[in-house]
Amino acid sequence: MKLKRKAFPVTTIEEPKGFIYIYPDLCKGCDLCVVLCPKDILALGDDLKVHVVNPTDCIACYLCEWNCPDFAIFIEKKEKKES
Amino acid sequence: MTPAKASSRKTSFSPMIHSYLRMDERFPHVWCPGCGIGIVFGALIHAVHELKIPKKKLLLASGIGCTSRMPGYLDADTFHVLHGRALAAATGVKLARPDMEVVVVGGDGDMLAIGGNHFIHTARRNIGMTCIVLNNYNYAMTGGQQSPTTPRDMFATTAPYGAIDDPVDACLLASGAGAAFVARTTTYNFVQLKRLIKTALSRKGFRLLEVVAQCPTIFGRLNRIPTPKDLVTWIKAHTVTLEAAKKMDAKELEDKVVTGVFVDREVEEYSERYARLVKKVRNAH
Amino acid sequence: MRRLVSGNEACAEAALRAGIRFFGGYPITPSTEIAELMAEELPRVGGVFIQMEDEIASIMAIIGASAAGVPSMTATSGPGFSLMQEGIGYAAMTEVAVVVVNVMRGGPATGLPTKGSQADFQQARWGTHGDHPVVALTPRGVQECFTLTLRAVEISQRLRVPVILLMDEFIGHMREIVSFPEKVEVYHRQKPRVAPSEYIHYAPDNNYNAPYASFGEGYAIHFSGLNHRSDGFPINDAPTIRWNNERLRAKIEDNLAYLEDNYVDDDPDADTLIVAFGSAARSAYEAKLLTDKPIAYIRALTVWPFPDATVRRLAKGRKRVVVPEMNEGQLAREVERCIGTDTELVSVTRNDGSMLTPKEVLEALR
Repeated sequence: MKLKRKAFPVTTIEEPKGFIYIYPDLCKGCDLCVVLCPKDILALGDDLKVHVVNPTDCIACYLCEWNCPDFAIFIEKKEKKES
Repeated sequence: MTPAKASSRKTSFSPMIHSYLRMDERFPHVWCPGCGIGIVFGALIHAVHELKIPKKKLLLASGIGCTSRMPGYLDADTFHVLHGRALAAATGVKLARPDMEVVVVGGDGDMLAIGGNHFIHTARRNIGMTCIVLNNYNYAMTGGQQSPTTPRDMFATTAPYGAIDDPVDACLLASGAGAAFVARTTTYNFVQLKRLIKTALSRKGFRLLEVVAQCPTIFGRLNRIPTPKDLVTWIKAHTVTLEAAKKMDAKELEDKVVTGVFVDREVEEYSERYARLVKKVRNAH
Repeated sequence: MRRLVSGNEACAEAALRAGIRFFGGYPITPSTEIAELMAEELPRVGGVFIQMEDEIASIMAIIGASAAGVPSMTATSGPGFSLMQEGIGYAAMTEVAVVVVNVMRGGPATGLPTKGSQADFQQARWGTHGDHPVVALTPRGVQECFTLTLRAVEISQRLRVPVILLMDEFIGHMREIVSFPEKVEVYHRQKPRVAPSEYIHYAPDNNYNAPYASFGEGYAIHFSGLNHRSDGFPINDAPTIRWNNERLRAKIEDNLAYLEDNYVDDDPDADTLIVAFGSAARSAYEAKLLTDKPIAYIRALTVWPFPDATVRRLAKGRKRVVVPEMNEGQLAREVERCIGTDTELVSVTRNDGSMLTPKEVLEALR
C-alpha cells in the first residue's frame, strides 16, 4: 500500500566491539535496556531517553536491542578483522 | 552522567526490524513504555526474517485489545478484526489461500474469553496458523479488568478485592483441543521467545505459543509492581522451565509460569486434508 | 433446462454458478439444506466448504476468505442472523464483499423454526450497531431464489458491501419449476491498476466496480473495524471520520439506480396501491387479480435500500396504500414514511407462522 514513511534521526556511538544506534524519538524511557545491560553502559538522560554512558565496556550482546519494546536501540557488531 | 560523543562515521546501517515496519507518523507505536508487546513483535519479525518468509505471503491477524494493534504496524497483509474473532477470520484466509503463512496474535482476554470458542475449534481442526497469545493477565486496553488468566488473589479493576476466579491454562486448553504444537515462554527470555516463534512458524497445523508479557502501566500498577523492570523481574521470579517443573509438586507450582514445549506432534494441516478431499471428489466424477 | 427444485436448492446452485467458492456456515433450520448442498458441491468445483463452530465464526470466516480474494457466502436463519450482526457491520466498515442468506423463520428467540415469516425485515437493515451500508434482496419464489442470489453475489463484489438475501421458510422449502439458464454472467473483481507502492485500498472514487486488492497479492493491505482513513489505519479526527462515513453512505446513495429493483403496475385508474415483498407478495398479487377493482402494485425485489421514490410516486394522489406482510407491520413503517397524510395506510399482517392468504388481502381491498 501507499505509505508515507518517516525518517527517525539516529545517534551512532562507536564502541570497541561495534556500533550502538539509538533512535531518541522512538525511546519512551522505559528503562528496560538500562536495567538489563550486563555492563551497565546505558542510562536515561534528563530527556528520559537512553544514552550510552561508558561505551568501552559494551560487549555487543544485543540484550538492549532485544528487550527494547520500541525498536529504539540497535547493535551492529564489528567484523572480527576490523578491530 | 556524561553521554558518549556521537560518532561522526557515516554508516549505511538500517535496522532490519524497521524495514518490516510501516514506519510513518504513527510511530512511536501506541504501547506503553516497557510493555512486553513490542518485544514479542520484535521477536516475531526476527523469526519471520530468519525463516525468510516473504512479506507477500504473510498475513498477521488480530482481534481487539493492546496486542491487536500489532498488525497495523507490520508491512505485510494485516487483518485487524473483531474482539475474539481473529482465529475464525484467519481460518477463512488460510482456506482461501493455503499458500499463505498465517499468524494470529491476541491477548489473554481476546483469545481465551470472548474468543475461547474459536480458540478451541481452530486448534481442534489444526488449521495451519501460528497463534501467539500475549498473556499480560488483564484487559489492559480497557483499563485493567480481570481476564481468564488473572492469577487468584491478584488485583484488577473488576477484581478490586482480588480475583476469585481460577485462571485457565491456555496451553492445557489448546493441548486438550488437539493443537499440534503448544509452548509457553515469557518476554524475559528473548532467545527462547524467538526460538519458539521460529519453531512454531515451521510446524504444521495449529501452533500455540503463549507468551507471558509484562503490562507495567496497568496490571503492574494495580498490583504494586509498577515499573517495567519490577514486573519483568517478577515474571522471571515466577518462571520455571518444564524440566524443573517435573520435579516440583502441585503446591510449589501453584503460582509458577511453566515454560517450554508441551506438545509437538506431526499433523496433516486442515487445508491439506481438504485439498486431498477435493482431489478424491473430483477424481470420482 | 427446467427442474423442480426448492428455494434452498436454487439458492445454492445460483451461488456456485455466480462464482461463490467459499462457504462457511452452521446448521440451522430452515437454511441447513443450503449448507449441505454447498458441502457436497463446492469440492467438485475446487471450492471450500467449512462448518464453523457457530454463526459468528461463520461470518468471520467468509469475511476472511473474501478478503483473501475468494467470493464467499453463508446461510442462516433468525437466531444465527442475530449472531452475525457484528460481523456484517465489520464487512460494511471494511468494505468486504460477502453474501448472507437469511431464510427467515418465526421469531424472536427460538420462535418457529419450521415456519416462515418476514419478521427480520428491519433487522436486515438495522441489525448491527451504527449507521452502515447494507443491501437486502427479497425473492418471491424459487425462480427468484436463483436470480436474486446471482445478483446478490454480483452486488456484493461490485460495491464491496455485505448483501443479505432475505428468503423465508416458505420459499426455502417450497418446490417450483425453475428454468436454469445455459450461461450465467459471472462478475469478477477488478484488479488494482497501480503498483503496490501507489495502491490505496479505500480510494475516494471507488465505490462502484472499483479495482481492489486481496490478501496474498503483495499489496500489504490493512483491514480494521476501527473507523479509518484511506489506507485503513485508525483515525479519531472529525473530518476524516466524516469523510469515511460519507464514503460508506455513498456506496448506497450513489448506486440507487443500480440497486433498485421493483415489479411495478401503475394502473392509472387505481385509487389503491399495494406495496409488498417476498412470499407475502404472492398472496397480494393473487388478491389483486381476484378483485374487480383496478389496483396499483409495487413489489420490491430490493428492499434495502428501500424504494422511497417509487413508493412516493405511486402513492401520490391515491386514497389507500395496502401493505400485506408476515410480521407485525415492519414494512408498513417504511411505507408510512413515504406517503402523504391524505393517503390512508392499511396494514394487513399475519405473524402466526402460516402463509398470509389472498383472502386476507382481498378483505382489505374492498
